[in-house]
Amino acid sequence: MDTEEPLQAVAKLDARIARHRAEVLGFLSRRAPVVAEELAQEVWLKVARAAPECSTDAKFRAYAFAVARRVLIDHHRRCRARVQLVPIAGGLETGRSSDDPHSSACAGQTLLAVEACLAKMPAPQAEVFRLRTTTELSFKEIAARQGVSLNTALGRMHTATRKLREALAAAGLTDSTPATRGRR
Amino acid sequence: MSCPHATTTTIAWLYGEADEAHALHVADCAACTAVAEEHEQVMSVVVPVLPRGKAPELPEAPAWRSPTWWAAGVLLAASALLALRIGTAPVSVSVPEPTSTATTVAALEVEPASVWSGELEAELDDLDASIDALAADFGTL
Repeated sequence: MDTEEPLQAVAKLDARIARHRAEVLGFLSRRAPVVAEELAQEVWLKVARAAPECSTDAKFRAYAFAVARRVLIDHHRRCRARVQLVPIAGGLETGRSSDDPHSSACAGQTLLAVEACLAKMPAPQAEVFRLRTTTELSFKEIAARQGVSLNTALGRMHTATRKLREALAAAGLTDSTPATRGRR
Repeated sequence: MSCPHATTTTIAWLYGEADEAHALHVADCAACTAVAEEHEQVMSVVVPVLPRGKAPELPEAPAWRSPTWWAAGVLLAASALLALRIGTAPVSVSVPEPTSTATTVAALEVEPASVWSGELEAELDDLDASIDALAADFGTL
């Protein structure tokens, strides 16, 4: 009886993962097509390690998507190191390995929109966003630098991100509709 | 649709700075899920174009801002103030109550210069004498 219960739990988790595997992979493929498989592995590994006690399948699905979003954010931040922006006459261009003129132009346009939005924000707010996204500093370290509480730094990050989302949507660079949860 | 974690713990969790177990809350909370979606969306667009930055170095505090220097400065200022006070303020010298008369003198105001000048002059005279003696010694050498 004692050994049966964990085995049942593992089998249940396995079945749930199998049920949502394709969906999560599809979600990741739309956002990071090249590394979607890799990221999906990371997601399921995290889910399996945590072995969340989700009472319903819908809760488990929501949990898996929450983890997938976190893994995606990690991925975007890791990718940052592979891209180098090079200032050129008449605009900014990314030094992507593909050297695709269209993607370079899009990146330049995005960067200009981001910089314009950051410039409009209160300086401490923009600073939190910049430091957390472009350096290895943690929120705790950023808070210490700014001489504020951790929650204040987190709040500044949240507000800055919200403003950026609105600015990017206004510039037509992201979907303006609120992201949907995709719950069943 | 508001959650106290939406602008605090959830943000920290999204960037790997909170307990993994917070994922369960995010999965169950509409406000936190919306925040996670927002951040994922913005990060996917913004982070690839932002140049990698280096954490700005905190300027090293100059030596004069160290606590030791502050303490020394404060001590020096206190000494100077004390010296100034001694040099300008009248010094109260209490006089013992005379036994012969009933009248009492509580305090006698004496100018500080007159109190110290005698001693200082005596010391200066001693110094002059020492210098003269040294000069005489050099002369003999």
